[in-house]
Amino acid sequence: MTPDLDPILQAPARLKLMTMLTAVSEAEFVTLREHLAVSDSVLSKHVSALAAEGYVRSRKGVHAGRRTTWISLTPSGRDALKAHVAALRELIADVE
Amino acid sequence: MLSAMESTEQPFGPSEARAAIADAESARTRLASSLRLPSFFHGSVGVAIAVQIVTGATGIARQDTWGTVLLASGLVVFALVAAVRLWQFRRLNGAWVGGLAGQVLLGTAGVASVSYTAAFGLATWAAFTPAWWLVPVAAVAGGAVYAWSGQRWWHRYQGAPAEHSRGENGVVLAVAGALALVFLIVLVALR
Repeated sequence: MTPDLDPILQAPARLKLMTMLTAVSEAEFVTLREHLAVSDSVLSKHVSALAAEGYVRSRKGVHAGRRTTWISLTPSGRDALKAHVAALRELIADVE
Repeated sequence: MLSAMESTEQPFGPSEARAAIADAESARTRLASSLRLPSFFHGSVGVAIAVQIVTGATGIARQDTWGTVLLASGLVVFALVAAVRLWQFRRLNGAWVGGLAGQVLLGTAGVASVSYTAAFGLATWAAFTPAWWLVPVAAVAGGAVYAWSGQRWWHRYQGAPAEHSRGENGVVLAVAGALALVFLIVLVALR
């Protein structure tokens, strides 16, 4: 039987973004963009999609004197990520 | 009919699953490894704790108005150092790690809290006795262990960021803060 993968997290960049957010309580948009090596608009779309599902929270703030956006994982995002990674591991285990 | 998103999804097999997990975990490790502490971070926390222990113990032993002022000034110095160091970390990295605030600065790590309590207790006892020279000794030892505990947490965090990144529960911190406030009020009232 195929494990239940979360369609929202199937895009590799979203899985990376969510996994990176488990290492911090909150990260600035630019920090995440640099580590993901994507453009502003691509990251913005992923963040919007994840925020629409309630997986991440974004808030406006100030960093080094300029306006910026801080992004964090929500409890439901953390649960969704755990479930998705568990499903991926199940998929791997099925063939081993 | 399939939605646009579903129709463009690629079939996900074991090799893609393995690669996706490895890639995501590697990105997380790179992010945690890239985070830098402001210079003299642990040292400044250790010094602030030592100052707080000396002023706190001496202030309690004096049992007068200046003692209360001394005790409060040590707490203010520590709070200022903690706030500035956290602000610098956030500014330097564009990231916030709750575990750093709780475990390293507020000393909620087991070693830090036990060593701080022991050092503060010893310093306070010494301040009431002729062995006053023990006050700075206990303070320096307390500050050094506190700083070492923070350094140990940081190494652990970088090795397993997801396990250590989260800060303390807000309710626990609020209760601890309230208890500290009650302790101070009782001290002032008993003076």
